[in-house]
Amino acid sequence: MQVVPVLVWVERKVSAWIQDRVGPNRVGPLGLFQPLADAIKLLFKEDVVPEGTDRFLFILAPAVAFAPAALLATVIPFGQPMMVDGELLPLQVCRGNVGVLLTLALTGFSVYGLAFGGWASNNKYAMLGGLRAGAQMLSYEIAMGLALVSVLMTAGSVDLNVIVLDQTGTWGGFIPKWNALRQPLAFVLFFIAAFAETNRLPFDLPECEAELVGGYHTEYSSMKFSLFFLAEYAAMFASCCLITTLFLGGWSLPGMDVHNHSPFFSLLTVAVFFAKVSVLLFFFIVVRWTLPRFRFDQLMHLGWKTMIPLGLANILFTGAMAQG
Amino acid sequence: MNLRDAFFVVFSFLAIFGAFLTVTRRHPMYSALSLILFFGAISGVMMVLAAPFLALMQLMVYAGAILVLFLFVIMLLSLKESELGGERPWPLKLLAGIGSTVLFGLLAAAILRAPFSPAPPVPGTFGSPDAVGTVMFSEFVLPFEVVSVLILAATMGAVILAKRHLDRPAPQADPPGGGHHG
Amino acid sequence: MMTLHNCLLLSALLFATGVYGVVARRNVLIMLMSIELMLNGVNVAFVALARYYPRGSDAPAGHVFVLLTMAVAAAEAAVGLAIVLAWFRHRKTTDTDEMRSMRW
Repeated sequence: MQVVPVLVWVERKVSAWIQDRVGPNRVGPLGLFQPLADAIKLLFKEDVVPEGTDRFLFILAPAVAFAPAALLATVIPFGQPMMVDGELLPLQVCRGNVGVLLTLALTGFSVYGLAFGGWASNNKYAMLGGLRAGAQMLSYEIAMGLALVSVLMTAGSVDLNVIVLDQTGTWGGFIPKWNALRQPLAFVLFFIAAFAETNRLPFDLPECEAELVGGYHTEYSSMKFSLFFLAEYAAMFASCCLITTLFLGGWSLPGMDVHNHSPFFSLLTVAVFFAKVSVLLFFFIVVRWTLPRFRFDQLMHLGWKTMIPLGLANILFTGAMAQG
Repeated sequence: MNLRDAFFVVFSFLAIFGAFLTVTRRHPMYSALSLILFFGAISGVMMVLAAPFLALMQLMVYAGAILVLFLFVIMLLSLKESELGGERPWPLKLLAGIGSTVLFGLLAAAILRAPFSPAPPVPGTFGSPDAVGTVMFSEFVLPFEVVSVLILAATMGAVILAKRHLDRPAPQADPPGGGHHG
Repeated sequence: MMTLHNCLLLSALLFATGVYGVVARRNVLIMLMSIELMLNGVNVAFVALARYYPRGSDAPAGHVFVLLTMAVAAAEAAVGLAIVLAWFRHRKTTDTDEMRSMRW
């Protein structure tokens, strides 16, 4: 989670660059400490629990929003298992043979924080934000799951490590056998669904300033607000890790030796993993400052009438290919 | 008492606690919150009982989908105090309590009288996605197909029920699966 | 302690709690949630029996039934909530005792 401040800084710099502004440049070199200063400011602000709110849920909601994203990061394998003292040390916090399913379950959980926050605030804008979050998550999680199924069919396993190892091969020695190339449609669907699940533009309808003031976090202030803020960036980071693992070969490089477990090589794979994640994060940020926001009915149309049928067709196609 | 037993006891008590909260809260929102606790605890119980795949499906289907649906409807209705409906008078509640206690007593008497063998050791792959899938798509493929038809029927029923106007074509703005602008 | 007796007792207790919820409450949403409680109680029994009486090596028939129960529960929740929505639009209440026009 130490990534978040850097991410916020990059986001503000990129947005400034796109909009031809300077961006933060006062605190520290290149304004690098700006997020830190913001965090301190938020910490010292008055923590308001407005009248008429449901106190218990109001306080619970930000924590519920943050937890799933943090947990999601634990199941991602981020490097080649390292040989330490004759034992293989897996570079993954939480190992298990059902990793992919856990990620799906956790993304489903992230909506509760938003929904509870919106409801407990006792404010119609916040409530609408929470409602939108519920509908959006529910719709796009189906598309996400369908895209995931075709990847699982390709790899033949739900273990994230196996999925990474499955992508280490190459075609003709240099084109990597990444799932993004083997399952391009699933990749695109998953990518769009990930934008929707993390509430990033063009899908940030639960919090769109133009219509709903601040959406579900309108009534929040101080540290509770920053926890929501943090949750959004943590979720973005976690989804980029997931996309890298599922579609971009995880920590592997095309044609590398998967049996080399020396510490140096392991660290190299970790660097490869985070390089891929960084590229994705940059893409997320650029998209945010480039595309306008969807209207809510357009969002639902895209989710139910385009992405879900495409996902189903892709599964059928993958199955037919696997048989034939 | 080993670790497995300890986890079983903790998750069981959490599940019972969550279940009691769910049926006693006044506002459905709090019932839904207790239900999250309940589903999580049941998932833990399943994990202890060597069913990791089901434990995760429990989280995905119940906590991730069904409960979000409940939450969505609760928020959509945004019930005022007058719309919550009345409560039954306490003698009736007491009667219901006694009735369900008697039901539990009968079940418990039957359970405690039966002789059960201790748990046989099972392989590590027991309850893994592969194992469940193999059984489901070979031996139980007919029930599986019947359930898919049931779900199709339920989807269509839910859409028809939630639509406002059946007689004229829906406007473009109407998303499938229920009007959001309630 | 984790024995089959205790697992089944837990299952029975959860089922009885669900029955209480359906009988004693008048809010239709809470009644629907109580039905979910009952279904989950039964699921626990399925999983426990699959664990204590496995057929052969790793062929958990009980697990398949739990999956089917989940699918049916999801269908039931969707239709039930759609009925609640349609009802609420007409009568502005979630009290089941006031839902008398659907019967004679």
